[in-house]
Amino acid sequence: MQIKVKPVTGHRLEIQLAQSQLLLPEQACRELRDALMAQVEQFALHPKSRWEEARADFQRLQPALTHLEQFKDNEVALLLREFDFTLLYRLAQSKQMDSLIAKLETALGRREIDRLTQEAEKLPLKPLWEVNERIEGLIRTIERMADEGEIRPPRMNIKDNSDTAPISLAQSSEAVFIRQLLQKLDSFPEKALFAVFKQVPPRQLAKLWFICETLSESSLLAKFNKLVPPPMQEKLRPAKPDHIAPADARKTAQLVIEVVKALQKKKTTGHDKPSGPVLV
Amino acid sequence: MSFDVFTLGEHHYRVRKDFFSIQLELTDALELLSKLDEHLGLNPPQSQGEPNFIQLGRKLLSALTCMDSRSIQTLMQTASRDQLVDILRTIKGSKLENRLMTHTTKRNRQAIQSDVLYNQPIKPMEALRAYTDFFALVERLIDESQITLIDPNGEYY
Repeated sequence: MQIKVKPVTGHRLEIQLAQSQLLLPEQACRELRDALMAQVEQFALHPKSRWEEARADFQRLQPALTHLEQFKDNEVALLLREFDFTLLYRLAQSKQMDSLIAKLETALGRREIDRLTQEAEKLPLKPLWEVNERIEGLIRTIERMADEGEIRPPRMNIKDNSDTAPISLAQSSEAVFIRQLLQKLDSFPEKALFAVFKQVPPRQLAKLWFICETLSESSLLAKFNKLVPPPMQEKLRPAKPDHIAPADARKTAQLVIEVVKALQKKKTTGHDKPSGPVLV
Repeated sequence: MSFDVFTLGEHHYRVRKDFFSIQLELTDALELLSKLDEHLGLNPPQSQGEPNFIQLGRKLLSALTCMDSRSIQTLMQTASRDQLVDILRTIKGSKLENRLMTHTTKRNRQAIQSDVLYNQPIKPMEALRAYTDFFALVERLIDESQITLIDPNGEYY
């Protein structure tokens, strides 16, 4: 960048920075100088608050790493085939997370560990917030692979405050809302209910099935068992969770409501259709 | 109305006032500061000391010595001998020079110390040139993530 500074009459400086030209009184130049100097002197330093925030985030995210220890070996292998664990491996080494490292070794095998170690040696140092981003990436990968049914991770509650035990759906504040929906569904004629079951995406339907069981809505559950044929139930079973977070259950409920609404709309528009010729 | 200066990433600065806004590299900032100090008469008189930007340059160099040894070695190996000679002339005989020297190879150190210019004092204009050249290299190595700047108050893995 072309940088020129030259004094002009009246205690002013003309500053040229590439294409821009500034004509400033000396006082303003001093302000510019002081402000710029203050920032440049901070070279390589980051605000304290940024580190504090990163440390707090790390505290919140760290359980996701130890959670891996409870995974089945082959699922850890599958997961780390999709997710680059290099930086987190180095973190585990320097934090001496020995049980995690031992778990990775049995799951991945010596050769893969050697490769990880080598890659980790080549990787430049990363600040804590990049480590946090990596853990977040790991969590997202686990969620996606669990959603796609590739792995079935043991349950963990990282999103909620880790101090409080996970709340079961039946005792949660969402239960009332979800129960209302289930009772509404129960009141539908079987034909309509069947249409709803058909329209709900299978993975969500499997969750709905689980929610019915958890909230012991036996009447609706009986209808589910009657309307969804056993071969279909067998297909759904792998997607059926063994735990559901209240928020997640609410999402499923919302989706079911959308489906019901869409079906109702279709029905009414169907009725409104004029039977005679349509004038355009 | 005062100027706002923000640090963007590791070595970019945004200077803003009213409707004016421009982005400077670290090396641009160094050059601009040296020129402003000169024209505003903020430097000590020539007979009594060196220009302020040399102090700033030393501060930047000492920030580099906080880097992990792999980073600093990469930097010292990538810099040309001429660059190193000039940089070291600005910190001659200081602890900082020693610290930087420990990250060069023995051979390189001998070559630097036997350079004809090494024992001559450096003129301010040459020092500015040396800093802008050297920190342009630092900027490039940061961008290529070959080196990582380290904040001693932080945590790195």
